[in-house]
Amino acid sequence: MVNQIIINGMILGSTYALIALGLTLVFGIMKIINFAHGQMYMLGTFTTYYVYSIFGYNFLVALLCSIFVLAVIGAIFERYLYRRVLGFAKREEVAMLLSVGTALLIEDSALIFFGEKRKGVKPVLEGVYHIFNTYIPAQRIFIFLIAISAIVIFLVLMQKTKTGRALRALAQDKEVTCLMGVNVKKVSMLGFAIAAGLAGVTGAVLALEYPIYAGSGTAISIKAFTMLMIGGAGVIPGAIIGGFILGMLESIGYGVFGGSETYLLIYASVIVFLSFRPHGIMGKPWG
Amino acid sequence: MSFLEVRNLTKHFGGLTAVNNLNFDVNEREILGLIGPNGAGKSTVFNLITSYYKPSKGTIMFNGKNIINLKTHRIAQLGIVRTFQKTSVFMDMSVSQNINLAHSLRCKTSDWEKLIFKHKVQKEEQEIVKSTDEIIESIGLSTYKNEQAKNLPHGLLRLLEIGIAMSVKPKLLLLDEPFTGMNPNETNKVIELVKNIHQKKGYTIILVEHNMPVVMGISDRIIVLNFGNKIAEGKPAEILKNQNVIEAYIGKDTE
Amino acid sequence: MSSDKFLHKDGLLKLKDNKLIIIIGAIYFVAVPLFCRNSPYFLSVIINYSILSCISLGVWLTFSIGRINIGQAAFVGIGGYTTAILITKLGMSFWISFLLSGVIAAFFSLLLGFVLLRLKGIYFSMITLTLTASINLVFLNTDFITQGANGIMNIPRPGAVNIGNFTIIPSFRTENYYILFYYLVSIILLVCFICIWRLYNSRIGWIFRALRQNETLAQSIGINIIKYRIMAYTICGFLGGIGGSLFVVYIQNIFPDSFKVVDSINYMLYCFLGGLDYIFGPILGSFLLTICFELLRTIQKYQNLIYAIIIICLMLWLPNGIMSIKLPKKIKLLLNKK
Repeated sequence: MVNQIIINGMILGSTYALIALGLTLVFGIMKIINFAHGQMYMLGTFTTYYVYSIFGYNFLVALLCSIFVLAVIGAIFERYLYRRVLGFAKREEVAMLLSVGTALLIEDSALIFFGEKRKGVKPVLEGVYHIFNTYIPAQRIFIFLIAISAIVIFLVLMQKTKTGRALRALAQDKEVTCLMGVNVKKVSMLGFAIAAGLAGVTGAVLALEYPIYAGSGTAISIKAFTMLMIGGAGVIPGAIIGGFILGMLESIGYGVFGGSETYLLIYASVIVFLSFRPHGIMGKPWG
Repeated sequence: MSFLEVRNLTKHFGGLTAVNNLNFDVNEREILGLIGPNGAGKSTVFNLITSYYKPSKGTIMFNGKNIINLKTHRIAQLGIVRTFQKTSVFMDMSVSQNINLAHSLRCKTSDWEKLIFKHKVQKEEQEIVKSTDEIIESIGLSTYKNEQAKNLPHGLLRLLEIGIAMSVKPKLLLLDEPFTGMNPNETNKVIELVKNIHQKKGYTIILVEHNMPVVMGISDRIIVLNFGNKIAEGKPAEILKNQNVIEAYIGKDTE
Repeated sequence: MSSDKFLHKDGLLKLKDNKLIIIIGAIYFVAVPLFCRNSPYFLSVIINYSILSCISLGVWLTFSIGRINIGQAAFVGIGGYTTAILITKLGMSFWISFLLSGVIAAFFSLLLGFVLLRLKGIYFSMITLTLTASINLVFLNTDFITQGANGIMNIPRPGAVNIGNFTIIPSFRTENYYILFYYLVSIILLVCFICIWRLYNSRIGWIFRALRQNETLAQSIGINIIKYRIMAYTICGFLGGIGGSLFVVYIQNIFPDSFKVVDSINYMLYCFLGGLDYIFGPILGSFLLTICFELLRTIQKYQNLIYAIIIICLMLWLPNGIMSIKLPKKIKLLLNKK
């Protein structure tokens, strides 16, 4: 039983870490919280649904489509919405409200387009493995592998590539990065696109396990915020740690308590935790 | 018992020791200069005195009372006020609003009374207005009374900062590099102001500053820090000749 | 700051100088009831926005100390459930429950404030958002008081207040309840507005401004920043609580998710649209957006979508709120700019 909980926690944590990474990336480079991150995840689930279930392509094709679609949306948002607003708004909350607007936009469009009914996709892999004294469905292992790969690719991207370095520089100091000859506009757009792409990956993999519906964004957004609060906003290790911790807590919670009390306890614990460590485990002070 | 007694004051930031076993006294009504190369720990001392940091070890006695466990605003209420290295005023308020607001500590009326606008409050506010005008006059910003702080040049903002500190009616004033980034004209203005308030209001002043001529000229005594340690203490003339001080700033003779 | 101006900001306390106030007052308390007596729909829109304004005034106050508060729905919920429970389970009259709701909501925001207000910037925003979600879960899981997912329904409307044989406040349980609600919420809104206005123009209000602009400096000049932060947040909670109380007797039911995350965001939005520099802002913002939303009711299906588009457009083109449109100076003065 304990093993089961831990394994579930790890798998869940890996997918959550992906979500948190996307959110923290946007926060790092643009200093705003993308309220629409959950809704982007939701679009990922729907893209996967259509490409994989409706059009019948290979799941991996659906995954790539998911990433692509979200990346494009992310780029568009940055280029035409955020860039304009961050340029001249007097107060920083404007960008936040803009992200709220985009969240509502995506969610309501989805409601209109896709309807209210919950959908599901057929599994990619059948079968169950018996490892470490527990039963793990093959699909879960598949999800885990994809999530971990995505995280690794992302980390490599951030550490080794020019774009990655530019993004990290941008997160530290925008003005200086600009002065260093980096095309801040292009990099911001790429950053947002990558973040959205991460949401797309998460959407694709979690579509295999959870119901797909237009309203699934809000819950994911709140979870993503919780991860950032636990792990610290704006720093990559913080997002990964926060994601895994939340995944674990959720797994333990559902295993032990079941039901809605789980998240109540998690939220209460987070509030208590934050009173000792206001910036999360690894976060930088902000504000 | 002196005005301010610092004993064994130590502050560690992880592996770095910013202030190491510092001992010094401040006498009432003196101007004490605190100098040292960059990173010597001068601003840290101010932060420790005003409780922005908690010391790792040591005590700070102000008028016989140990203040290291008090909160910053309580310390201000006891009479220790500081200015900041980075210009710190209320940018979206006018000069007079800044100064008026800084008088808040002097209010004897309670919050409740303020809300109901009792007659007592009105009277108190009128006195504060008078005091505000006086202080603005003494810092020389009368012509800028209604100007938004964000529109003022750096030099005038420094004067405003001192004005804000004055409004709180401090007994001990900590000035953190008030002359930074000023041209000679502005510097003279501030020197005049500091001398003025020292004489007229009887403040005790600790001054952190890099501008040597100014600090030497204005201080009664000087303390020199280097890497968190006190390396010299005495009158300005003595300090200038002190070997350790010279080494700290310029380095050992490599000959 | 001459004492005259400080205490009588822009002369607004001298009512006779302000024709605009009198005109608005006349419209509000005479014209509207007169002409709308028989159109409950119109009245209900105004009742709705008035309660939203009270709630948003609270959020505005937390904006004024420099925090972005996305957790107000939690206190609206607390106030709402307090009233619902006191009326249905303990048989209390609405009028006492109303005040108790505010007090209890304020009490919780006082307690939570000690922890939450230590956070700043987006951390504060995120934790307040989480607070809203948490409170919904609390209501869901405490069915022994709140009846959980079933909610509390059929909450009776306010009864009359009689002293001896005189009826001070008539019963709301008649057909005229719309008009009565209209007067009730309008008066409460007016009182709230005046109280916040007085608060913000007192020295305490200036301390709030100081907290928003430079907390470190405020501390060093002797201001107890924790005390004043919590003061602002507690008042915000109180306003949320009474708003919840009003909603509950108006709509006559309450469920765990009656007041959720999207509501918290809306309250923030109203403040924003109206202009964060103006005390009048949240009232104007909630008025405009409520009207806007109602007008879109005809396009039911696309209502939310267009609402979202409007928000985005507002952020793109009016990021500093409606009040940032250049108004003639006289009107600006009358609308109590900060």
